[in-house]
Amino acid sequence: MVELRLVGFVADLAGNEDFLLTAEPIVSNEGRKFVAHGRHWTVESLRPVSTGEERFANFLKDDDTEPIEEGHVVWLAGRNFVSDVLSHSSLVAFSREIGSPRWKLHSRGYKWRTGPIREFDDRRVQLANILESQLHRQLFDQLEKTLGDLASTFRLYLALATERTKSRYLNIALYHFEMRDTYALGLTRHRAVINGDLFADASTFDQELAQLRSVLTAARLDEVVEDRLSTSHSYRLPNGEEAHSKHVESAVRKSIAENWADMYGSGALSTLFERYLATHNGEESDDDLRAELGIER
Amino acid sequence: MTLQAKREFLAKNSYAVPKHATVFDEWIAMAFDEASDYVKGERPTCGAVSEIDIHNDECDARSWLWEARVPRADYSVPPLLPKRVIFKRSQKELYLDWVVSEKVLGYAEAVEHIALVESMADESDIPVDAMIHFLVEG
Repeated sequence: MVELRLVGFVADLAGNEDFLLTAEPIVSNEGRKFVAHGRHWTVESLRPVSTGEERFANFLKDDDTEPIEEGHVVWLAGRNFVSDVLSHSSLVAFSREIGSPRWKLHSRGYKWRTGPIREFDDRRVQLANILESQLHRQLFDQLEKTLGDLASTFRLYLALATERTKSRYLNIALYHFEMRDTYALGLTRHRAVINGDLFADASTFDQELAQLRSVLTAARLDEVVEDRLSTSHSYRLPNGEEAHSKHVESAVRKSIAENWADMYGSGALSTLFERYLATHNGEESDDDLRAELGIER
Repeated sequence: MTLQAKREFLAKNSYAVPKHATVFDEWIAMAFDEASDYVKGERPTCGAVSEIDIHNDECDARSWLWEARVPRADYSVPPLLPKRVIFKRSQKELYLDWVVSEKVLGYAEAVEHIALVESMADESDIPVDAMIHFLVEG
């Protein structure tokens, strides 16, 4: 049996710092170097390094060369990608893996390992799913938005969710919407509808985005209400009546439901809730607020 | 070879558009069984320029067969227009993400650029094969 040895890979190291990608292995077979192309390469499908590939051929130090199985590819992680993974609070397992000796260091801070492309795809999708839920949570949390790792969550999500799918475009649009980036939001919408393969037209896209926002805002509202109710004691209204927590909860929910179209999302909910609690502490006259919230005496 | 000799050699073997097409077709007919063999990277029986030895196993013969030059100038209309772009898998999406996030173009220009890319670009696991397929099959 022929022993194939990985001696390098074909990849452009300039410009891929933020990404996790696959690279074609350069293998040595009986003293000659070949490139392994495609998802299902075999000894028979190996091709000599072409002129076009020479510019992007990266060779490994002798100590780093290793045997490689047919069909396996090089998994390559850029420097910024690696540092985002290592510092991200939700990718502990992957962070441990990418920090292990299984991933070898290459020049310019790239890390690499070999493996089946199928496994690479599965891992990418799994990580993208984790990041999607983080993105959904962090976008509706003011503290995460300003102080947390939302920016790196988004960068990692872009790097890992690389298939052209509806959820990819909705999530990217959601991010730009919440960040008030109208330039990027407009272009993302344009990309999403341009082929008609994902969304029938721009208004369908807008509807689905609004729907996603409302689901996530509702989820965030549940958290806010739970959080506040669990830490609040009883409140006494100005007329001496005790504010029942159920009363507070239903009032806040009602007001939010009526304000779905409100561009300010969860921020406005918190403010409204704060004001409601303030009135119960006698800091504010509550008549107008009651009317605004639709609470009956 | 002196600089002067190099200049003369280059001039002797250069053909302007559209005359180059005749010379190119004559050479293709002489060097390959099928015209598409050139695109597929098959080895020709002879080079287009007799002074260049293409029978060297260490080199890809395609590097020494035929190339195009465009004079350096400020063109109001680009002399070469892209017809088809094949990205490696995932790279088209990532490229357009970059266009959007880096804000390198004005909004209207970006809209136009995205439409251009979407109209001619595709992704493939082996872009070179996808491009050869496009060149052969059209």
